[in-house]
Amino acid sequence: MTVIPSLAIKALRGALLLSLLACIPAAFAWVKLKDAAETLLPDELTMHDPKVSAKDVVWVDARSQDAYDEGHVTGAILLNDDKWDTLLGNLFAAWQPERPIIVYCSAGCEASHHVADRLRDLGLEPIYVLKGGYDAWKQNQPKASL
Amino acid sequence: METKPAEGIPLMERSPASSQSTWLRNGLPLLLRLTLGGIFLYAGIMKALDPGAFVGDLRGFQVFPETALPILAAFVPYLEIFVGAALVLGVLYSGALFLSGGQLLTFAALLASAMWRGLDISCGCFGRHAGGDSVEIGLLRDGILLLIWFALVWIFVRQGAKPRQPSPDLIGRSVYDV
Repeated sequence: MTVIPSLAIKALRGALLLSLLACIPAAFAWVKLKDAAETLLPDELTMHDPKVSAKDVVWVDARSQDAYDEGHVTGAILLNDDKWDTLLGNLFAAWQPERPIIVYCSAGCEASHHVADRLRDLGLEPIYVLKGGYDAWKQNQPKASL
Repeated sequence: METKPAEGIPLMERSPASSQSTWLRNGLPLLLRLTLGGIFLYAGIMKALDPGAFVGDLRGFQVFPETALPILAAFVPYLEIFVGAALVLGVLYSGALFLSGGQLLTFAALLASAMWRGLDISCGCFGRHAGGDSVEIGLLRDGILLLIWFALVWIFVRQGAKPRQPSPDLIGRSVYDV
């Protein structure tokens, strides 16, 4: 009956070795991820950018209807790929030329960039994407206003 | 003219029951570990291609602290790749089984907790490139993989607990020796 403990020891040793091997490429990926988190794309804004707190900004929420219903940036207009044709009218009702548009989704998602590209194709300018998405906005709000 | 069998090749008539038992002993475990290993490899590669998106997927579960997200998003995909490769190649097999079980149980717990809390998120199982499956689909798939994993552990312990005997069916070393 000494076979099972010896198998367990062998398994633990193997697991440790595999984990250590995985740490090597993971360390490079982590450094890259950290650099990317600190680098902004040309059309991206952080919560610290003055444009974010400007009064005339039109906020566009590129997430799902359910996520929007759970909570969104004050005054944000829902606009996503699922109901693009239906929701686009709401944006045009609110938007006026030269009013900047800031699109957001969840942190790490691509939907905001996608919606921003589609809006640019329609000729709307200027359009920005909020880095960190709704989570970044929420973290910067006083607790009482949530 | 009667043809003689080539020298050195033993003539072994096998009964259907014998070939069936060889299949169960060698073929099925091989198929199971290639399936599990292949899925781990694929999942790891797809996540490693877009670690930024995986950060977002992990954040969606609302259980990890913000500082841990980039570390997990960098480490988990490569752990899956190494575990998958070890399962497929039969190298460090016992360690790969141990880690794959740990990961599958962790994913199952995460997905079940997301379902329980009614979170509307994608499971993040295969990264964004492969399209996001729902939590329910992810949990179902995880359950099936856990069944495969249990079968592999049972075979491994059973074969590992027995004294090893040289078998003419096995070429080279068995994965259970590693």
